[in-house]
Amino acid sequence: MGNRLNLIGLDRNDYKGNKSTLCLGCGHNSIANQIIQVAYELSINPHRVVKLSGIGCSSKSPAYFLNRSHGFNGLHGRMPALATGVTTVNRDLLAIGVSGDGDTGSIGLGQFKHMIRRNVPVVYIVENNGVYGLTKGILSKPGVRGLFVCHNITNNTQVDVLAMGIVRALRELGIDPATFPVVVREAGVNDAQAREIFTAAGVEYYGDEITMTEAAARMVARMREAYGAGERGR
Amino acid sequence: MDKVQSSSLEALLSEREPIVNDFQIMIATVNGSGSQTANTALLRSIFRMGVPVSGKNIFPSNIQGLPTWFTIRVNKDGYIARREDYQILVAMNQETIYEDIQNLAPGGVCLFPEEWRIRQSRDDIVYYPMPVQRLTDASDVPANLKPYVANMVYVGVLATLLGIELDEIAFSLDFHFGGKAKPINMNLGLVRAAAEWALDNLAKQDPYKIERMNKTQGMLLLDGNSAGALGAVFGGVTLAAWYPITPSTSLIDALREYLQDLRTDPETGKATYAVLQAEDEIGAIGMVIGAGWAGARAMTATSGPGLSLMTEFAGLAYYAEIPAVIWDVQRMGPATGLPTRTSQGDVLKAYFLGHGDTKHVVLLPSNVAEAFEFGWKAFDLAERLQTLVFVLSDLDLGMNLWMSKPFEYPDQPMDRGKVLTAEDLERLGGFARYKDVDGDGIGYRTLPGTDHPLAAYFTRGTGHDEYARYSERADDWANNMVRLNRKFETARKLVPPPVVDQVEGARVGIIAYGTTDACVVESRDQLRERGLETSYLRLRALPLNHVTRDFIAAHDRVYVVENNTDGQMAMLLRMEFPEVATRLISLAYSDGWPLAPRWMTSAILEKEQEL
Repeated sequence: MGNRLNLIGLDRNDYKGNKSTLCLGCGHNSIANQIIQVAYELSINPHRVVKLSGIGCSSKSPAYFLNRSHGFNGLHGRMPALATGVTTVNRDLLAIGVSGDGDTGSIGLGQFKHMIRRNVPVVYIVENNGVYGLTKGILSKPGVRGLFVCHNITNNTQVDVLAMGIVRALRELGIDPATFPVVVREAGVNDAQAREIFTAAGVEYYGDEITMTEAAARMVARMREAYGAGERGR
Repeated sequence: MDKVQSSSLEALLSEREPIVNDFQIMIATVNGSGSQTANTALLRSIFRMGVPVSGKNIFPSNIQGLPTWFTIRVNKDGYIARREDYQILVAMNQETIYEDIQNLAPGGVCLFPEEWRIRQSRDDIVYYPMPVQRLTDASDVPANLKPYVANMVYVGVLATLLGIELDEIAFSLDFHFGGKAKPINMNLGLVRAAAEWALDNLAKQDPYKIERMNKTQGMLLLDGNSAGALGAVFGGVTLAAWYPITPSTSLIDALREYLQDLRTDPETGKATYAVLQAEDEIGAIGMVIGAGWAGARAMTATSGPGLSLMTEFAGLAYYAEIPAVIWDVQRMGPATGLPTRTSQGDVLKAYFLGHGDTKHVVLLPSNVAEAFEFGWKAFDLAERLQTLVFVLSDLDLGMNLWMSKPFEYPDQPMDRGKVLTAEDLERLGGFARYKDVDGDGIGYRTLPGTDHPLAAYFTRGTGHDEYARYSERADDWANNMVRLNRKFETARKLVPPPVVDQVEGARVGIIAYGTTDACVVESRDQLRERGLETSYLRLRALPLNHVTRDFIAAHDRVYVVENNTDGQMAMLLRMEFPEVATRLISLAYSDGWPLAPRWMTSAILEKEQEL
């Protein structure tokens, strides 16, 4: 590839992993690539690195970087314990822990806190996509902030893609957002960009200014307008 | 002094020869009253007089105030099993005193504090009131400590009554307090005062005596948890992670003390080990497996409920093939059960712990010498087989003091198993983590940190091929599981074999394991006296092998004796050896106490008569 060798004589390719099996454009891949780039630039000896993870999309990703490092894809929410054990018995290792929002903030919150309390020497990356990707579209606890009413999947890091996708879907389905009830709330990153796209398409859009519950109430109100009260009961 | 004696007792005693070195003392106290010091001092003193002795502490799962019993069995023939009856009662618990007296053997002795005006309702026992309050008040012990040394009164009275040498009591207290003069003198002062009081005031009317023998020479007294911990140190344990749970806690306590003494770098003064108290058992086993994966010898100690929490990691370790050691000091379950009582209830669970197809190597120590031996051997087996090894002890072994011959130094160098170094990789040009190169089902592993571009592999609980690559191929999965089974066949040959005493002509066999051994040894002698010769096979490990099957096949009937309700080992034997399953008779009982020989003997004789 014509890469320059780093200080320990390794090519950037020497830091690569297997081909990713995550969704195209997934932010996890960007993080994996960043780890590869940084390890290469810092001339880190990959033999000294251990990659540890729990379970989930994020936790699969250590297979996609640093193939010359030992990796351990462990149990859901329990990577901190593995990291504690590994780094306690071998102080020369550099540990990278990869976890997700569910793996860290839900099932693994206890271990995560205790790992911090113990000052375990590990680079711990929480790859927050707001969703349990492997079990398909169930929301994870820390991801609640990215909700979008009536469709409960969103991706904080790619709201532009999502927004354009929704706008295009509405157009292709021949739906007029002025009469058909569509409410979008996206209170995460890229608010400005999302607002621009949805407003241009005539979709009712909210960012941080209203709560999830208020957005849900707006949706109910829109549905009442469109179908009349009590319609559902008939 | 008050003489408490009736005519029927006189008749009973007049015909009695002295009973020397063959009886049991029951000491009933209140939890938290400091009786442990008194009881272990008595036990150790008798032991030091060369008389075989065994002690059992039956204590409530409570901080303070509930009844506690301590039995000291003195037996010239060396039997150390639990004896159901007792001949001498030290009644220091007013709440249980009448029930305790009720269970005293006829002709027995009841010592009690004189200030309790108890109803002396039995005329077939001797009552000795002791001036507990008077002597304690008269001692120069500070007032706030008096309640804790009051128990020394019964130590002194028993010393005079039974003939326990005061010098040995002095030595035992010295040992107990690690040479600290103040508590030694405080306690010993009261012992001496009570012994003198008894000499001047107590007319001995009972036949019980302790006389010096030479049957404990060169032996030691230790609890199984300490022995196991010491064994682990000899096995090179580097990390222990745990979450406190009775009755395993003292194993880690002992380990920490031994490691501090033996594994502190003399030059830097720094620890070359780590003992981590985890936030729960899931954390504990995770740390242990992380350490085992990284190449260290790592262990945890727990009991049934903790073992349940370790289930998911156990399944992962089996499948990802990571060495580590789990001590399960069994107690009564399910759930919290009776947390301070003993049982052998985790056999099946430990053997199959996990999810999907899992089977584990399980070691079954019967005595403190084996607790020590398996303490180090477990690591050799774990690393050789690249898998979890369970050591199934129990409360009875773990927390009670047992006589033992000095432990044998490990007879083989440490076996670190199949680990490839950077030089190996250079020579071989690579490796396949899960490939069965040697035909024993065991692959080669590398350790993180190995400085070679070909060293790394990816460990996962998901499907993988021989090269540890992610795989969902049907044949990869099936072949890997077949190899794991081949590895388990290798384990059958590597684990400690059963100890077999096959008696020529015996048609009845007995299979037991763990602390039940003490009961079986005595019961076999009782059965022999009743005309029933038995063979005996003592299991020391799972998986089982052909030695056990052959033993079963060589007998008409084989009783499987165990301290649980469901007969778990009998189930396992029937499952593993269906061809001889009909010869097996389960003799399982569990009520929190160690099994007693009299129960076993009559249960077997009863079954034999039914046939």
